[in-house]
Amino acid sequence: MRALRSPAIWLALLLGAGVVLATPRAQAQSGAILFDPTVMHDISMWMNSRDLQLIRLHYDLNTHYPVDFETGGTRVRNVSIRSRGGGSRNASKLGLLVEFARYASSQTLDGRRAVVLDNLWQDPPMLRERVAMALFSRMGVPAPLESPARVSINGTSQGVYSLVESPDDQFLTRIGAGDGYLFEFHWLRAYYFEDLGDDLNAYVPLFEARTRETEAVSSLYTPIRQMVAAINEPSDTLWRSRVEQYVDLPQLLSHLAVETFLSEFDGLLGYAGLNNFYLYRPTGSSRHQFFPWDRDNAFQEVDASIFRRADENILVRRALTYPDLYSYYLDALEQTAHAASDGGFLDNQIRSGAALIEADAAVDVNTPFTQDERLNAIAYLLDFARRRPGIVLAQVAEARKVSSR
Amino acid sequence: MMTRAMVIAALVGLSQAVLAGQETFDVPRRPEATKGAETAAETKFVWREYPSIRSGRFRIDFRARFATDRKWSDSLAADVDDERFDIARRRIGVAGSFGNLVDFQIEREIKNDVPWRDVYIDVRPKRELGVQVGKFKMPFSLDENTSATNLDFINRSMVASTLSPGRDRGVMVHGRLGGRLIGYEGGVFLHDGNNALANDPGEVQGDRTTALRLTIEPISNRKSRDDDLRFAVAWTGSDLPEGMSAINGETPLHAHFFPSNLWVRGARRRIGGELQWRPGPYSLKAEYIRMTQQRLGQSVTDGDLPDAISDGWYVSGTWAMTGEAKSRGLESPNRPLPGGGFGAIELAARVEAMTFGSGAAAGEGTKSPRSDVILRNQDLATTFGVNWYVNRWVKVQGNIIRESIEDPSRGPVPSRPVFWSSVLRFQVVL
Repeated sequence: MRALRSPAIWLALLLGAGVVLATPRAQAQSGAILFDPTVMHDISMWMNSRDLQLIRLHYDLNTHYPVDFETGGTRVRNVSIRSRGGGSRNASKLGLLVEFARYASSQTLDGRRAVVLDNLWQDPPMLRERVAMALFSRMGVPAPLESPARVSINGTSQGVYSLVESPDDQFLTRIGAGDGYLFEFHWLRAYYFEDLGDDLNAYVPLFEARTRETEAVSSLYTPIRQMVAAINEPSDTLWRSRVEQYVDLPQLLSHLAVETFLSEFDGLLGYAGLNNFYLYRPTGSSRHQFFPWDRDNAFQEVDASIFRRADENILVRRALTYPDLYSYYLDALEQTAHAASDGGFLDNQIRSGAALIEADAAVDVNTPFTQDERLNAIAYLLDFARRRPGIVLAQVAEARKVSSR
Repeated sequence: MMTRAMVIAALVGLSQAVLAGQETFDVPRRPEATKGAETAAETKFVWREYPSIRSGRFRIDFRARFATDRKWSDSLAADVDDERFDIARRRIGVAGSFGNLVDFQIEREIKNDVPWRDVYIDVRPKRELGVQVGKFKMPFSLDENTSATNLDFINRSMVASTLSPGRDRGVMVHGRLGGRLIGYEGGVFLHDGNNALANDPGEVQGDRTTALRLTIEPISNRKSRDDDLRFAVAWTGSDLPEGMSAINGETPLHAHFFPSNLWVRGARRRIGGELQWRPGPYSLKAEYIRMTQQRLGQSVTDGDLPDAISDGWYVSGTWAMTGEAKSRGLESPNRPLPGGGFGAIELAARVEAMTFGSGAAAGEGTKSPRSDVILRNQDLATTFGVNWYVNRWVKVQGNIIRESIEDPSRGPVPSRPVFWSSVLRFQVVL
C-alpha cells in the first residue's frame, strides 16, 4: 500500500492505462488484422459452381467473379475475385485479386478495399515472398504487408497462400507517401530503361497507372518519359543533375541493396530486364521511387555477386559510376546484411514463418512442389540466412578496397 | 408475260430506290386491292406513291427507305460522339396482297449483320381469324410495332426498344371480334425476339416464347376516321437457359446505363399495357412494360436469387399544327411541297423512364452479377421533337433529349447525372 503513494507508481499506472486505451485504436488501423503476420489466417470463399468452373477454365483472363468472403468470423458478401499473376497463373491453385469494393463501392474488410492472395506457385518453401518483404520493411523500403493464410473455396482446401496488401491508394496512405501516382510495371520484353522516344503511348503498356487512373495520359506519363530521357542523357556531366530531377537515387539504391542481398532473380536487375516493381511519383513532384513486388524468386544464390547484372540496366550502371552513389550502395548493402543477421532476424523470420504454416503446408495438395522439395527449400533458406550476410559483407569490403586504389 | 412484267417492274422500282429502305412497310391498303377495275386478269405496272404491280386481285408493291441521322450528344458513347451524318437505314422490300385473303411482306437491310427483317405471310379467311407465319414482330408494345416510317420521334422509347421482344420466327393467330371492338393476337415463337438477342458467348436469349395481346378499340366503329382510342394488354413468357441476360439498359441513343451481366435461369416474363388516343390533329400515347427474369440456382452458394426486374413507361403527345388528322397519318400532307404548300408540321413531346433492379425486399444493392439486391439504375428522359412531313416521300425530324441517370457512374457521362443530346433525321420513303 505504501507503494501506491509513490508518484512513480501512479505515473506507471497512467502510462499503462494509456497503452491499454490506445490498443484498440492501433488495432483499428486499416489492415492490422488481415496482415497480422503472427497468425495463420483462415479464409473461406463461396462461389457459384459454374463460376468456379469458368475461372479455372479461363484462368488466363482477368474476368471478375462474385464470391462471399469470410475470415476471422466476418463474412463479406458480393466480393469480386479474379485470376492474377504472370508466370504463377494456373488453374489448380488460383492466384487471386480480391476486391471488396468492386461491386459495392463503400465496402471494405478491415478497412481494405482489396487484397491479393498470392498462390506461392513459384515459392517452394512458401516463405520467400513474406520473408523478403519483411526485410524490405525492416530496411525502410516501402513494401506490401503480408501474412500467411489457408484458403478454401466452397469448403475445399486450396492450400497455403500469402495474403498481400494490394498496392493502391490505401497502401500509399499507410506508408505515408501521400496521394500521388502509382504505376505497376508490366514485363512485356527485356527492358533496361532504353529511350522509347517521345510518344507517351510507348510507356503506357509498361507502366499501368494504379492510382489517378482517370487522369490524362500527358499528366500521367510525361514525367516518366522525361525520366527515361534523362536516364539516357549522353553527357556524363549532365546525367546526374538531370536524373536526380526524376529519380530518387538514394531510395533506388536502398531498394537495390536489399534486392541484391536477397539475391533476387527477377527484380530491378532481373534475368530478363526490369521486373516486379511499382513506380511511385508523389503529387507535385517529378521524382520517382521504386517499391518491390512479388519476391517469389528471391534467395536464388547465396554467393551471388553484389554487382550481378548491374551493368545491364542503364540507370543502375550509370548511377554506380558516381563515387558517392557507389559508396551509398555499399553502405546500404552493409546495413542490410547487418539488419538480416542482427538478432537472427532473417533466421527467425524463416523459422517462425515455417512453423506457422507447417501443418497446412504439409497437406497442401495444390502446390507444385513435393514435401521433400519444400523441406529442402526451407533448409536452404536457413543456410542462406546464416551465410549470406558474411558473403555480402566480404564483397562490400573487397569493393571498397578496389575503389580506394 | 406476267413474270416478265414483274421482273421489269422490280428492276425499275429497285433502281429508283437503290439506296432506300423501310423498317416495317405499311401493308397495301385493301380498298385499292379490291377495286372492280383491277379484278380483271390484266397485269400492269403502276407508280403512284411507290412502284407496284397489279394483276387482278394480286398486288405487289416495291418499297424502300433511306434515312440518315446527324447526332450531337454529351454522351461519350462512340456511336453518339460522331457528329457526322450517319446512314441510319437502307432497306428495301416488297409487300403485297391477294384480295382480302393473303398479305405478305419481305424486307431486308442492304447492309446489316442480320439483314432479313419481316418475312411473313398472313392468311385471313375471316376478320375474326387470321394466321400469320414467318419472321415478324411479336404482338407486344405499341411503340415497337409502329413502323419506323411513322414514329413520332426519331428513336423508339427506351422501354419499347429494350424490354419488348421485337421480331422472331413463329406462327400467330389473330382477329377482331365485335366488329373492330376487340382484337386478339396469340403466337408461339422460336425465341424471344431480336431485342433480347445474345451478343456475347456468355449471354442467353429466351427459348420458345408465347406471346398474347388483347386490344380494345371502344370508338372504332364510328364513321369518322379522324379519331380513335385504343387500349391493349400484352404478355410474353419464355424459358431462359443459364447464362448472362442479354438485356441491358440503353439510353435513347443506345449508350449503356445498366450492363448485361446478370446471371439468370428460369422464366422470363413480360407484361405490358398500352393506350393510344388520336383525336383530330392531336395524339396521346402511353405504355408500361415490366419484365421479370428468374435467377434459379444463381447465388454464390448455388441457391435461388430474387427475380431481376426491369420496367419502364412513357407518355407522349403530338400536335399537327397544320391540321392533319393524326389517325389518318401525316405521311400525305394536305398541302405538300411542292404542291402549293410546305407540308405538314407536327410538334411532339415524350417523357419516359426505364429502371433496372431486383425483387429483393430489403438490403443494400450491389453491382455483383449474382447480387441478392441488384443496385438499381434508372434513366429518366424527356424528348422534344419537330416533324416536318415535306410530302409523301420526304420527312425531316429533329429531337432534343434531356436525360437524367440515377447512378451516372454507370451511364455514358459518369461525371454528371444530367446530359443533353440532339438528333436530326432526313428520311426518304418510297
